[in-house]
Amino acid sequence: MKRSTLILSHLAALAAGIAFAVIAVGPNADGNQAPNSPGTTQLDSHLQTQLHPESVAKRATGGSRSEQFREAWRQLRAGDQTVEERLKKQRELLEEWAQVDLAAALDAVMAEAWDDDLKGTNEHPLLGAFQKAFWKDPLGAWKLIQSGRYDPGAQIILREWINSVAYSDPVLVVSMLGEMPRGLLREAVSSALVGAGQKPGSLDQIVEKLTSLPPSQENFQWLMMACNAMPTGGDSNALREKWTAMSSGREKIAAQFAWAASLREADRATMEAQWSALPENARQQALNSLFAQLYPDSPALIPALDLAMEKGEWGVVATLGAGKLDEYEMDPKEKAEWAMKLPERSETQRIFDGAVAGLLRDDPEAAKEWISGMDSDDWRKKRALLQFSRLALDSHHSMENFRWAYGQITDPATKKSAEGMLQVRGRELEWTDPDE
Amino acid sequence: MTKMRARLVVLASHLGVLALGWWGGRLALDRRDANELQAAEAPAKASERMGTPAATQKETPDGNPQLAAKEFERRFSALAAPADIPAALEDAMREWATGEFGAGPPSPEVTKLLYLWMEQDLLAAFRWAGSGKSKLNEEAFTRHGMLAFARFLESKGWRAGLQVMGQSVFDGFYAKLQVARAFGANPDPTAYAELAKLVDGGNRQYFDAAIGSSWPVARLNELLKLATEEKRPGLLTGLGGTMPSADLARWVWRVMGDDTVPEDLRAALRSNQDFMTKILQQRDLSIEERANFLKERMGDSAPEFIAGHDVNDVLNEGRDWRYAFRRGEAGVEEILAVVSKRLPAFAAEDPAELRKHVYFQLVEEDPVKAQELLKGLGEEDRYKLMLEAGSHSLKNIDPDIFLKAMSLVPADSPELWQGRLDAWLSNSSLNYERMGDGYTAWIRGLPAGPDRDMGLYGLATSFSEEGQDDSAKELIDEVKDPKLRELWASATQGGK
Repeated sequence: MKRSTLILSHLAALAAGIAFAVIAVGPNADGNQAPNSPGTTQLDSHLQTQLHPESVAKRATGGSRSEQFREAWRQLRAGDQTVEERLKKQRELLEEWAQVDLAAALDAVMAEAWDDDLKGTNEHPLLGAFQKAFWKDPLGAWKLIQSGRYDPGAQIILREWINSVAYSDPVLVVSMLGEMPRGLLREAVSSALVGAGQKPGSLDQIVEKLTSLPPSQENFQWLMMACNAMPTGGDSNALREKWTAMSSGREKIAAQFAWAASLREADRATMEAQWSALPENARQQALNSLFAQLYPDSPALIPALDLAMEKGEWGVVATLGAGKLDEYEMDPKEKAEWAMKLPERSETQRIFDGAVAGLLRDDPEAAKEWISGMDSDDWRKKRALLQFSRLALDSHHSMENFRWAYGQITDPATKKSAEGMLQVRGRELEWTDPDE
Repeated sequence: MTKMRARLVVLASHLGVLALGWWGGRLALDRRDANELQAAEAPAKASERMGTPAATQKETPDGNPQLAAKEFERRFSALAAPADIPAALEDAMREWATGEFGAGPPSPEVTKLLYLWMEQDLLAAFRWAGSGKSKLNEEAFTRHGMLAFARFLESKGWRAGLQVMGQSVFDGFYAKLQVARAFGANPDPTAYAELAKLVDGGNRQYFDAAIGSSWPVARLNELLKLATEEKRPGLLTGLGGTMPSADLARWVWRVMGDDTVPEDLRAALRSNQDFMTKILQQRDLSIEERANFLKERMGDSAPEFIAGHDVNDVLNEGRDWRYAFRRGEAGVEEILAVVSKRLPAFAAEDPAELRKHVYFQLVEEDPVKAQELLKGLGEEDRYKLMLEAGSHSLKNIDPDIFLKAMSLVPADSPELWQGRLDAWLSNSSLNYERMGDGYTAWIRGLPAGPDRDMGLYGLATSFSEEGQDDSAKELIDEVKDPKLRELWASATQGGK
C-alpha cells in the first residue's frame, strides 16, 4: 500500500501538474461578463460568421440569450474546418454559454461524441470548457450534475467537476467526498492534493477533514495519500513532541506523518537524534512512517536504511523494494560501494539489486571491473552477475557482455537462470570453445 | 529512474514534440490533401463556400500545428539582433512566462535571442541558464535552449558545440545530445571515436542513440559498419527520429533479416520500441510491410489493426468528417471516396475491407446512417459486421447510441446471439468505470428483452471479476434468458 500510494500521488502530481501548467487564467480573474453586457463577444462573432445576415436579423428579436447560444451551436457547421478548429469553436461557445445557462450548455455537450477520436482517448473532448463555470459556482454545478438530468453520463461530468474544482477549491472537493460515487473517490483525493499544492494552508484543512471521516480502510487510505503530500521541512523536534504527546487516533497518525515528512532530507545524525529522543515503544512505528513518507528521490533513504539496519528493524527494511534504491540519487559507483556493506539477509537482497542497478546498467565497463574485484564466493557477486546478464541482453544489447558474465558465474543454479534468460528472449549462446 | 534519466525523458519528449512542431512541419504538409492545403492558404475560396469573412480564417495558429510552425518561423526570422542581447532576453522571457513557467509553447523571440547569443558567445549563453535569482532562466533554457542550440549546430556544424559538451547545465546532457544529433545528421565516421571519448560511460548509450536518430538514410550502411567496428549496437537503437521514413524502414527490415550481420546489432534494431510504434503511421509503407514489424507484438491481427488505424488517421487529418457526418453535412459515400483517395493502395487491393473500416469509424456517430455502407453485403454478413462493431467500435460512447446500434440487428436469430453478447460484454467494464451506478440504473431501465438481459449479464461479469459477487448476483437474478442463466451458472461453478 505505501508504495502504491506514493507512486499514485506522484503520478497524479505529474499528470495534474502538466494539466495545470496549461491553465493561464485563474478562477478569480475578471473574465466574467454580465449576461446582457454590450460589446462584441464570441457569441456575436459566431452568429455573424455562421448565419446568413438575414437570419441574424430575424433571430435578434426572439429568444433568451441562452436561445441564441443554442442557435449558434446548432448552426456550427463542419465546413472545411479541421477537427481542432471545430473543437476550438465549440469550446469557446460552451465556455460562454455555460456562464449564462449551465444546464443547456451541458445538454448540448452531452449530445456530442463522448470520446476523443482525434487523440484516441475516452476523454470527452469538450468538457474542459466548463472549468470556469464550475469554478464560479461549484455547489450549484454539483447539484445540477447530480440531479439526474444527465444520467447515465453524469459521472463523466462529475469527473470533470472534480478536476476543475480541485484546482480552485481543493478543500471543497474533499468536503464532498461523502457524497461522491465510490469510483471517483481516489481521483478526487489525488486531484485535491495536487490543487492543495498551489494553495497554502489547504493541505492542513484537508488533513483535518480526512481525519474526521468515518473510520474505514478506504478513508484511511485517503489520509495516507494526504500525508504523503505533506511538505518536507519544518521543526522536527516540535513536530515530534507534538505527536508523541497525543493520544492514539488518526490525528496522532497525521501528526506523526507530518514529523516523518520533515525528515525526508535528513542526514544520519539528525535521524539518529530523532530516534534517540523517541520513547522506545514509539520507535518502530516512527520508522515505518519515516519510510512511508520518503519520495523516490528523497536523500534520507539511505540514512534511514542504515539506521533501521543498525537498530535491527528488519521488518521495516523488508518493505523496501529495488526500485527505490535504483532511483536514489547517488553516484552509481558510491551506491554500489554502499551496497557492499549490506549484510546477507533475505531482507537485503532486493535492496542490493536496486543499489547496484545503476552501475551495471549505465556503465558496463566500470561494472565489469568492479564485479571482477569481488571474492568469487561473495553472495553479492552472484547477484550482481545475474543482474548484469539480464542487463547485457536488455540494456547493453551485447552478447559479449552476456558471455562475459556467464563465464564468471560459478554457481550452477545461477548459471541456469542466466541460460533461462536467453531462452525467454529467443536467443542462443553461440558459445565458442576457447580451445578451438 | 535517476534524476538524469528522468530529465532525459522530459528532454526527449520535449525534443520530440517540439521537433515535430517545426522540423516535422514538412511531414505534416506531406500528409495533407492538396485541397486542404489550398483551403488553408486561400481564404477567399473558403469564404465563398462558407460565407466566412477572410478575416476570421485562422489568425491565431492555436490547435493547428502546421500554421503554428509557420508562425514560429516567421517571428523567428523577423527578429534582428539587438544591441544588448541579455536585456532583450529578460524582456522576451517575461512576456513568455505568463505567471506559470513554461505555460505556453516556446517563444520564437526567446529562441532567436538565445540563438543569437550563442553565435556571439556560446559559453556565456550556456552559463546564463544556471544563473539568475529565480528559476526562470533554467526554465527558459529548458524550453528554448535546445531549440536554439540545435539551430546553432545546424548552421555552424557539430564541432562548434564541443566547447559546451562539459557544461553543467542539466549535467551537460542537452549539449551532448544535441551535438550527437548534429554529428549524426552530417556524420564523419572517422571522428566518432574522438567524439565518444568526451561522453562518459553512463551517458554513452543515449549519446549513441541520438547519433543514429539523425543519420542520413542514404548512408546507413556506414552507420552499420561503424556500429560493427566500434562494437556499439547502441548506435542502432535510436533510428527513425520523429518518424521513420519508408526507406529507413526497408533498410531496417533487410538488416534485421541478414544473417551476416552480428546478432547484437540486429537485436538492437529489434529493441527500438519507439521505431516499432511509429512505423504504424508511415503510410508510404504498405500495410503488409508495416505488419512485418508489428507481427512480433501483435501476431496475425497486425494487418487488420493497421488498416483500421490508417482509416482512423485519415478521418482525423483533413476535414472534420466525423462531425460533418454526425450533423448531416456529409454522407457515407462522400467520406468513403475521400478515404479511398487517401489510401489508394488499400482501396485498390481490398475495397470491401476499406468500406468495412470506414463503417467502423462512422457507426458511433450515427449507426442508422452508417448502415448504408453495408448495403452491398448479404443480410447475414451485414448483421455480423454490425455486431462486431459493437465489440470493436462502439466503445466509450453514449450507451443510448450503442443501444440504437444493437436495435438495428434482429434480436431473435440464434446465429447472432453470441455476437450480440460479445458486444455487451466488451463494453460493460469500460462503461461501468466511466459511468458508475448511472450505467447500472440505465441497464435496469431498459425494456425486457435480450439487450436488457445481456446488459445485466455483462455488468454482472464485470462485478464478478472485481470480486463483487453479491452485486453480480443481484443483477443475474433479474436475467430472464435461460441460456444466459445457464452460462452464468457454469462460468461461476468453476470458481466456487
